[in-house]
Amino acid sequence: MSAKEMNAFEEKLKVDESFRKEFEEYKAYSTAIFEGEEYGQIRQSLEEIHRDVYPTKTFFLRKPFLIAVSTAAILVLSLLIIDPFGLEGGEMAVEANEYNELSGVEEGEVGEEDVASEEAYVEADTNEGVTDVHLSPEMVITEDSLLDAINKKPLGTAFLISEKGYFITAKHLLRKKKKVTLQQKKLGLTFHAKKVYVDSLLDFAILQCDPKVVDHLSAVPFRFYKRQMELGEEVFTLGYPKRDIVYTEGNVSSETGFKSDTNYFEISMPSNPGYSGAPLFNQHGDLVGIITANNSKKQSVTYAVRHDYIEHKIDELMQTDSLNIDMRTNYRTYNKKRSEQIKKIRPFIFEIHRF
Amino acid sequence: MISKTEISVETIQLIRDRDPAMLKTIYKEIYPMVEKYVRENSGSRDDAKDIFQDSMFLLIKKVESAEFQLSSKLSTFLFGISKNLWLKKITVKKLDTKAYFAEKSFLDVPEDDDQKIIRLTAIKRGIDELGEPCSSIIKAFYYFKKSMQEIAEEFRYANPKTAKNQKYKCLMRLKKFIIKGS
Repeated sequence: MSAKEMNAFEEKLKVDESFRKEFEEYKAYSTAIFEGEEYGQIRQSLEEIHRDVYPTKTFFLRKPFLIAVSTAAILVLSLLIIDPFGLEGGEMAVEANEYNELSGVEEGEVGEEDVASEEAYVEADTNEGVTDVHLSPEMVITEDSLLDAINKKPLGTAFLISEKGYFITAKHLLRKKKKVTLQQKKLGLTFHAKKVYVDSLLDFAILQCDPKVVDHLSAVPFRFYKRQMELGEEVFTLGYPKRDIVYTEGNVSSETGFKSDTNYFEISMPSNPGYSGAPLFNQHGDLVGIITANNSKKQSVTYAVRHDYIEHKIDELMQTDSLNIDMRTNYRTYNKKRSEQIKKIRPFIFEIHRF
Repeated sequence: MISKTEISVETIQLIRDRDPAMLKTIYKEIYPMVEKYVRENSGSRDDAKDIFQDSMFLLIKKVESAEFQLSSKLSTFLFGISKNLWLKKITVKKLDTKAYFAEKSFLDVPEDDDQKIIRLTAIKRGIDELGEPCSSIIKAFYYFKKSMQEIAEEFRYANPKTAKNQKYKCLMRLKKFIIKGS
């Protein structure tokens, strides 16, 4: 711009109101863009220093690249999933008895089924000519448990979702029961909880206990995951397939559940009776679902109710019913280490026993 | 040990010039303190790195302004910024409000640091999400201050006018991004 043009320009700025405004807006944007880019540049050079000073720790994949990779992976996976022979509905033909609910004890049974199988095993041994019949340690424990009702095998798992004393579990554990006993051995808590909501469609239910019981616990360290689960995402769970809490991990293997039910998803993870009602977390410790069943015909196939359905239901209940499932104080743990995450989450997972 | 002493004129000049050796020295000496603090207050290593790098950025920007004066030690100042940023961040995420209000009164750094970082991050993300060639054109014009003539040559536009046209379109898209992001 020559000096003459400059003068004319400045003159116009003084006289023309809208021109001045436009120019100022432009100036603001151009400074903002400069500052933003400068920030990016400085951050990048600091990132290089960081990698220089702490070389082993970080390997950075930039976000856009990650998105591209995951999109590609999903595309490839979805292509693989499409049945090349057009045998649509093949899964529909399988019998319903593949769908295996994961309650620890069948309704109406005494709950000593594993003793029976253990005994059968011992008998088989003697038939084969082994003379030295000994009790397995497992059996000794079950004999003790006959004496101690507290030590009996849990029906399944429930977990606290609100400081007001609300728990989520799988509805098939409750069936006709109005009340159940919840227990958390580590905290030394045993108390009763009543059924306050049973979903008509999916396998989940809400229990409530006296809020005083959970008063001294800290705030619940997880929230509902806000996004959709992606195929291959790492998940983990804590449940009670035996008398102590057990940790298992797996990956999301399908976005739909048994017979392509879209309210469920499928996880490649081994699961045993007792895991019913166990919460499923993603790697950041966000709640992503509830375990309900596995596939008895296939190995390591477990089904879980989707988190977004449950969250939606809870929101609905808050508005229409008198349930005050306040989850505002729930927080997210920022621990990267799995064992640290578990330490925080663990006190909120409870065993369900018969009332 | 620069962190233990009062900040000198030479040090300020080196930071102002963004001297890599100087930045590295500061990084090495003060980052461990920040990492310890953040991790003790429910943060991860990555959080600590983010916070510290943002604080370094703010330090550089503060030093650049003419009226910058620092009476305290560099470590105190930089750690103060980091602490403020982290406390703001966890307050926003509703992690630990009590800690923030307890410590708030001891902080003498300006309140709007975190807002600045949020704003700049949004702009930077906007620029990156524009995609090519927009992203590069915007950077070339607004950051590297290249002329339209140079840009036209670099991006093989027929003439500066076409390049200007393209840049204008990119700017309009970026505006949308920034408004959406903030």
